[in-house]
Amino acid sequence: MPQTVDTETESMLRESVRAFVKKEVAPIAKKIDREDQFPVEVFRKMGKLGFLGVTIPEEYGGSAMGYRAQGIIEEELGYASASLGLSYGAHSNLCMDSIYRNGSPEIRETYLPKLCSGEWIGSLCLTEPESGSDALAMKTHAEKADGGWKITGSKTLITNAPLADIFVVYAKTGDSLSAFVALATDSGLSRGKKFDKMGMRGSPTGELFFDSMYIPDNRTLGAIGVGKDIIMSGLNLERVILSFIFIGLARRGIEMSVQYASSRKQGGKPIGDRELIQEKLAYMYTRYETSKMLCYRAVDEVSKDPMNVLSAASCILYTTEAAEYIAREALQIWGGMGYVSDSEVERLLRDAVLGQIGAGTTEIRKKLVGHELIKNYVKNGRLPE
Amino acid sequence: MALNIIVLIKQIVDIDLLKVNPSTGSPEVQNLPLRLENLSKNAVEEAVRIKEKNGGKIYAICFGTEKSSSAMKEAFAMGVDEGFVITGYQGNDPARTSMVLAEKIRAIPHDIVLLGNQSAESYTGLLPGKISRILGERLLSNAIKIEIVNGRARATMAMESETVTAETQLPAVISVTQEINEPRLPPVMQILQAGRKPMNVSATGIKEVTPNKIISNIAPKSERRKIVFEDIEKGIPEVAKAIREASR
Ligand SMILES: Cc1cc2nc3c(=O)[nH]c(=O)nc-3n(C[C@H](O)[C@H](O)[C@H](O)COP(=O)(O)OP(=O)(O)OC[C@H]3O[C@@H](n4cnc5c(N)ncnc54)[C@H](O)[C@@H]3O)c2cc1C
Repeated sequence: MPQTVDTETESMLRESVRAFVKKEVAPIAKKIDREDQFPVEVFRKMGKLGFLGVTIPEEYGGSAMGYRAQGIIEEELGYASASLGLSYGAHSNLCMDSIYRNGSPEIRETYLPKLCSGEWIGSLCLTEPESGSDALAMKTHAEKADGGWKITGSKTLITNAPLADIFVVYAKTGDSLSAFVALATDSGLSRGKKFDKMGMRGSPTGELFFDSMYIPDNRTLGAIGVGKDIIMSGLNLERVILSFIFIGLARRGIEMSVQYASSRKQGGKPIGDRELIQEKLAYMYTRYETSKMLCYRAVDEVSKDPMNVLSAASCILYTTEAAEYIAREALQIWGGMGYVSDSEVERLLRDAVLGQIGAGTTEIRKKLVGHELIKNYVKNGRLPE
Repeated sequence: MALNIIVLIKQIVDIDLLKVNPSTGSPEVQNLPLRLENLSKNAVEEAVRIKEKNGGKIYAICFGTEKSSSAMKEAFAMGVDEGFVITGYQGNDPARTSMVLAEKIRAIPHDIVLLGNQSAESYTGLLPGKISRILGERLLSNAIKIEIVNGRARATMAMESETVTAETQLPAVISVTQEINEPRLPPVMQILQAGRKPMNVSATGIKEVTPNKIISNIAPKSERRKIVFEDIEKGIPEVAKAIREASR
């Protein structure tokens, strides 16, 4: 059974994050969205409190609490600002945790402390203009050079790229794929535009160009040629961790809905007295609770086995559809006022939509779940436990 | 100069969640989560700041129940080094509480005893004075600023209408107000270490002294009426009329 109840330490962490979010994030969440500005100062404070490095061992400046702790932090951030949750995820999970899991001792020692403290901001670069869902078909390639590699190509839709100091970059090395650590200061690296997005505003998304960017041998991440495994294991962890943003967002949506349904009166009584509204609340709540259980189960399973595609893909498939549904229904409950851009509900909906696109689209997740089930059945003659 | 600091902490129900039973008027405290009281957090925060400046060790003492270990862990996460939980708290009895706490304080060599100036739940404000008296140590009360200068404690204290700065030798008892600082959020590393710090649990042998009798803790009846004025045209005169009628 998944452990959905926090341990004592986890609940202290949750309280600490919740108090932080209430004080530092919630008051500026609207501004982050409106002005599309990433709150660097708040991010640095998160580093000071140790929120950034919870999956990284102490010797590199982290606390080694693990992925559940990372999920809890995402959940609490998602409640107030999903976009901060997304940038946190790209930094702490996609970038920093990949560097930790695959990096040499030298790479770990050099970069993890800076990422744990928030002095540096990290990013992970997989998607390219011509390869999104089919990410393995990337064109960016690395050629062997004296003492290192020269990388040429481009990446797009990369979270944190407009301001990151360090990038995990995937590139083709002959017939296989490899991962590299690039720095903002590397010559040959340049940033393209920052996209103006529908939602997740404040989490900067941008392009990167590599023009014979030189990466020394000691900055290859893992062995040359094992890039595909790094991508796959990383994606599963990423899918589960990002799911937590959307249970936080869903909680906020339900909270706002219940609050409005009980105070807004039409026809002489609160709209919450109407069965059509109650039906919405019932489905919203049930899907939210289901998402939560799925997330806590998936995080335990993927922590044990990062190659557990079934658990990760089904978790994010359900959780993000549920969050978008909940945000949409919340807006409906708020009626015309929900559609007004001053209401927080419309932001919830705009942010929720990203859930079905980033870290593999809903369509790809369905494909993965179906494929895994069939593969498992053919091999074992039964459903997985 | 390294200092041994003792902080007295109290665990109370989460006051933010406290509701008054609308029919009886009595507070409903059952099943509320227990928390480290806010003023205790101010006292812990001040202890941590003093330690950061001067070095030393922070002990916390909590007179509470078997459930008080969670409050102690909150204090650990904020920076307390070692904790003593004394079980057997039965309710508001300042005479007994001060004797129980003083007994434990005496057993620990210390330079400063820090505590909140009153608890958010009983508001007696008696403990700082009683403890200082039993220990025979000087009291600086209602501190909004504390400095340790040349082995002496100097506190700026909030009085009714002015602030007074006074100095005393150590050891001393200092009660703090909420204005003294903003308690820190515990960082993740400290949260993790909280479970590993030494916590000593013992039961008190001190019996009831003069328990306060609660004569009444019933909330005064207040009826909140919500009137919505929809006709903006009629405006202020309508509002004035409603107030006049209600205050009759
Ligand atoms: C805000 C934001 C942040 C992002 N952050 C990052 C990041 O940090 N790093 C990174 O590497 N990438 C990032 N991405 C990119 C993201 O991972 C891709 O957008 C996503 O994988 C989809 O790729 P695509 O946009 O190229 O869509 P496409 O792959 O072109 O898909 C278009 C449509 O076709 C469908 N489709 C595609 N293939 C199939 C198929 N085989 N079967 C059925 N349907 C299919 C898709 O589901 C989709 O509906 C981010 C994107 C956004 C919007």
